[in-house]
Amino acid sequence: MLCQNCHEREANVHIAKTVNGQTQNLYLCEQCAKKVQGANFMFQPGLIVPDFLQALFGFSPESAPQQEQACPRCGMTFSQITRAGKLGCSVCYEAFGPQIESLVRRIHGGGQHVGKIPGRKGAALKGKVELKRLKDELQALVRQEKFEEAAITRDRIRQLEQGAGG
Amino acid sequence: MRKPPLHAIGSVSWNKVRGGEKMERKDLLLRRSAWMEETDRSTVVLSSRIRLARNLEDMPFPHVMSAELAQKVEEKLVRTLETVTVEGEKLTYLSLGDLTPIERQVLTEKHLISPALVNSPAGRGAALAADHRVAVMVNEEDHIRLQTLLPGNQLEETFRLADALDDALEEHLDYAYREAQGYLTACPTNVGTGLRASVMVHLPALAMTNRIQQVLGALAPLGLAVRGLYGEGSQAFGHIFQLSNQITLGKSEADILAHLGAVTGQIVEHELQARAALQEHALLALEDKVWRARGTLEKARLLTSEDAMHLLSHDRLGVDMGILPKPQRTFASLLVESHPGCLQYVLNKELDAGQRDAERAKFIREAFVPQADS
Ligand SMILES: [Zn+2]
Ligand SMILES: [Zn+2]
Repeated sequence: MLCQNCHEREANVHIAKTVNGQTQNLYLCEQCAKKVQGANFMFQPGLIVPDFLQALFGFSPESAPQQEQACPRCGMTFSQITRAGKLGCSVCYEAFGPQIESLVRRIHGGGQHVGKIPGRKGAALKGKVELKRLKDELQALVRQEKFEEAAITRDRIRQLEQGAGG
Repeated sequence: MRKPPLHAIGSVSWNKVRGGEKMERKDLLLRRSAWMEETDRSTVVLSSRIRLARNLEDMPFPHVMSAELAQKVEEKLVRTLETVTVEGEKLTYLSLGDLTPIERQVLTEKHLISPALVNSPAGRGAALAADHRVAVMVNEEDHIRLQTLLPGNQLEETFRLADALDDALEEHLDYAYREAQGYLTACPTNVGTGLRASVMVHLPALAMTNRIQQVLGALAPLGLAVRGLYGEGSQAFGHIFQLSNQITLGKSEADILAHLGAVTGQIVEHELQARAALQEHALLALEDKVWRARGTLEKARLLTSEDAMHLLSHDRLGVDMGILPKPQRTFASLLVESHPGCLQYVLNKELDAGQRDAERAKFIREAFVPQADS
């Protein structure tokens, strides 16, 4: 089983906590288990408390630098974000790109968004996603030696690419 | 004398408090929520819920907004919410600042707003459909928390309802969205789809056969969270649990729903097996337990919330298993509307704990009056 926190390393630590008479289990890798226990972590399933986010970063108020970069839109610093357990605005996602990315990877396990694309805002994006899907399909068809179907898919890819280009 | 129809207890009380312009709101709040009805898919799975988290691109997230800015965002969102319909029906917006503490409590007890919203009302509120199957929270943790709630096991229908409303809102709003990260949310635990899908399940037989911890303990490694009836930290009174997905990024909405649906199916199966085992090996003890619950619910003069939920759970098991006749209210309605906010709101007065226990017992007794044959 993979660690339930970083979803990267093998889980080899089992933490059982009893809350309201219910025992709950957490399976973590050694690194994550250390951070979690060090932060006086109150485990409840489904609940990632700010403490937990702080623990993920090894954040402690004393170690925070005096002068910190702030988000140009909302003015939040990264230590404020970890303390609140929340970002300040959409621009924070870029302003603290690498840190947020690593945090998000630890929570969700590293994937990219593969879900809904908003209709109006994502119109251009949708074409891009469809193109990628068709290219994957083309490769699969070629592998399976289904050349007639592959030719149809290839033509659709051309159409789409020309449409986007002109 | 003829017995009153099913909803009569509620409507009599409405008439008592009817008066002036407040009526519309009272009517909306007291209406029986669609999710509390029972369908042929309501055994074990009481309700299905979808929540989508959405934010505006050009505004800071609610927790860092000034009251002034929160009101500006609220105005903008209310204007948009006024333009959309849900299956042809308009939503009604309630600004939290206009509501009394008891009204807010009613909305929380009916799962229409979150306790987090209640704590700081400025610039916050919720737009509701008349039957409460849609509730859009404004300026909770995210600018928009779009929620749909339907009775029984119907996650996909519940999702479709939310998805359509989301599309309609996006026509007018510039959502914070990135190709790689999906919908951006205040808390990184929701980023990606912004989707929290959940089912409310009733697992009395697993509890009676001491298998509940084993079954629920297996969920966390599957990426699912377990909560009680009233969310994080609330205890699982009434053997009610809410199961929901934890991961929102790197999986499509369809995958998230399919995974939760499949695990829910297994849990339902476990519960039904436990019920069958009780029936086969301990029928008399089971019958005794559910009839004792029914007897107490019919006759008790004082019931705490905790007692009521426990007894209602056993009673419901008896009804599900064909041992007891159905009461005149649904299980979900009895559970929710016997809570302090709902009781006080219906009676239109503040009650202390002792008075609430008496009113709760009365409210429940009325639903358990044996029905004369019609
Ligand atoms: Zn780990
Ligand atoms: Zn920011």
